[in-house]
Amino acid sequence: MEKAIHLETPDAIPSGYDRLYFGAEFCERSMPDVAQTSKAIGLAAKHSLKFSLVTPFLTDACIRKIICQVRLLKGLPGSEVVINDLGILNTVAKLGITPVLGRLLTKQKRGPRIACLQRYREVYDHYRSVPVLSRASEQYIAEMGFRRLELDNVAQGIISDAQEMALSLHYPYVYVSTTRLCPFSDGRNCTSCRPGHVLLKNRHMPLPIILKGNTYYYRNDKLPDKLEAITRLVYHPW
Amino acid sequence: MIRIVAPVSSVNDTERVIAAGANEVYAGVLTSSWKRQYLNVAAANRREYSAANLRSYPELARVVSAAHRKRIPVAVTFNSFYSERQYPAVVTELNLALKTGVDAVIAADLGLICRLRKMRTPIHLSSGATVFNSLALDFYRAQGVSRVILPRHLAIPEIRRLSNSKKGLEIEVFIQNTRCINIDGFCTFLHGLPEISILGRIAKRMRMDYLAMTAAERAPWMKKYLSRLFGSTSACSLDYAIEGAVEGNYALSSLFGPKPVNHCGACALYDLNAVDCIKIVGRENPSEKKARDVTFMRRVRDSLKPSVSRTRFTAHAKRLFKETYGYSCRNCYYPEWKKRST
Repeated sequence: MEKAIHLETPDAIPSGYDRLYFGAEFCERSMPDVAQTSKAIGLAAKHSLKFSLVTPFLTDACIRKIICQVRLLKGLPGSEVVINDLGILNTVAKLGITPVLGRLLTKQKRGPRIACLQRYREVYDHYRSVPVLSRASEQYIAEMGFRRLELDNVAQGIISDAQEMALSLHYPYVYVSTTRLCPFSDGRNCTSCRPGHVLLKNRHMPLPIILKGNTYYYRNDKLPDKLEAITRLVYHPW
Repeated sequence: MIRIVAPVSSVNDTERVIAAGANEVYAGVLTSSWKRQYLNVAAANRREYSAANLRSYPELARVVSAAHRKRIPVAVTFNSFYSERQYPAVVTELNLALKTGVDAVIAADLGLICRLRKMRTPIHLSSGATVFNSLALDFYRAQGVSRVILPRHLAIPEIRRLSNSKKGLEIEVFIQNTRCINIDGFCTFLHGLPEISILGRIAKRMRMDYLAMTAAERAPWMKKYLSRLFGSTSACSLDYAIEGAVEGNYALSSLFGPKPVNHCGACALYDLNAVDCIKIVGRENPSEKKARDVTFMRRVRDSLKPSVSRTRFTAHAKRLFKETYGYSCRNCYYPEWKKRST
């Protein structure tokens, strides 16, 4: 089992990891700049870690900035780009860098209220499955060059239908939803996420929802008992 | 001329919105056999309510026939993301839908897009596929998509830029109703849960949530009480207790709670001249509301002439809104972006 840690700034890396995930998944404005990414690549090399550049969904305003960073990985052994926007796939492929399908594109259903559906077996199993691992979708993304995809450690558990894909599992924060209308941003001078988060509680929601930056999560510390299909764990320390 | 794409969930809807001026219609189907297996919550399209859907494929055939008599194209929504377990049922239902003569399929699931491309069926890429940039447009053009429905969260200048780089694709944007704060293609909260219970089904069939929120539009002070009694329990509509803090002052409580039913982007038409289609959302709304929305939007669109100034056009659209709905517009489809782009 490969162990990875996801950092958003090029800080000191704790020991016990094989790979560094660096970048932002949910907000193009909080994506590190080229200098920070270069620093993170250097830091990973210093600790003998492989490197994965994590990229968010993108507007035209930011896409060039991201492509400059992707170019830094050309020829870097074991490096990958985690793609959450299929617009950059061709660029990544042309540079010969390994693409990984990000959490935004794997289409797991994650809302905590799925727990209410346990007695409806077929529905519950559907929600434990990963849509992008249906045979039709998996073959299609394999043709596009993907060999790995990123999953959340959802509370309902995972049924893997994977034939060709290697799977990564992110923990302990399960992403649920995201927005471009970030409640903590003034929309202009926002370059990184404000520290901290809030908890949202309601009687209809079985778990507290965590709002951090522009994204909603819940926490699930319990890793699945059976992890055969998972070949990489990605830890988010926040 | 920008085409108006209207929602329908019955033959009656179809006739009314076409008479009101719709240029295209779209519908989804939620059959009893699908509900027996997957309930309404895991529907074959992203409107997980019975009231938003036709009940059978023969009913879809009647909708298609009514629309085609008036030379109006029909798109059918298969815009969920399907697990391997659902695929046999999806393929069966897709074939039934195609036999009715629908003109296009609205899809987001990659496996389904691949299948539709092989079948040479026109594909309208759902907003669920989240195209935010011109390279993503290029990507989906190469996958055989003929139209891209852009996500709600794009700014008007961003839509304009994408519309100018569409190169053979048609561009459709949302213009009215149901504008959530979250990006729908990236939102994985569960919707439609109340409809699992009998009471929830009755309330939804009677459109209690719609009626309550419409009343609240006219008298905002009633919103809190009506939403508690009849409001949606979708995750984004819940009144959350907020704990903890983030550096700075933020009006977080205003983000949550009951949502208005009548978001409107009619004024934005002034800047959306390069898009091909504008979509009115709200398949679950009553026929009366659907027809009224189409009439309103047609009147606004038809008043858009090159000689009209932005100020006059905006004032005219606002006047038409009040005339049509009986209250002033206050829930803009593109508010933050207006602020940011000025």
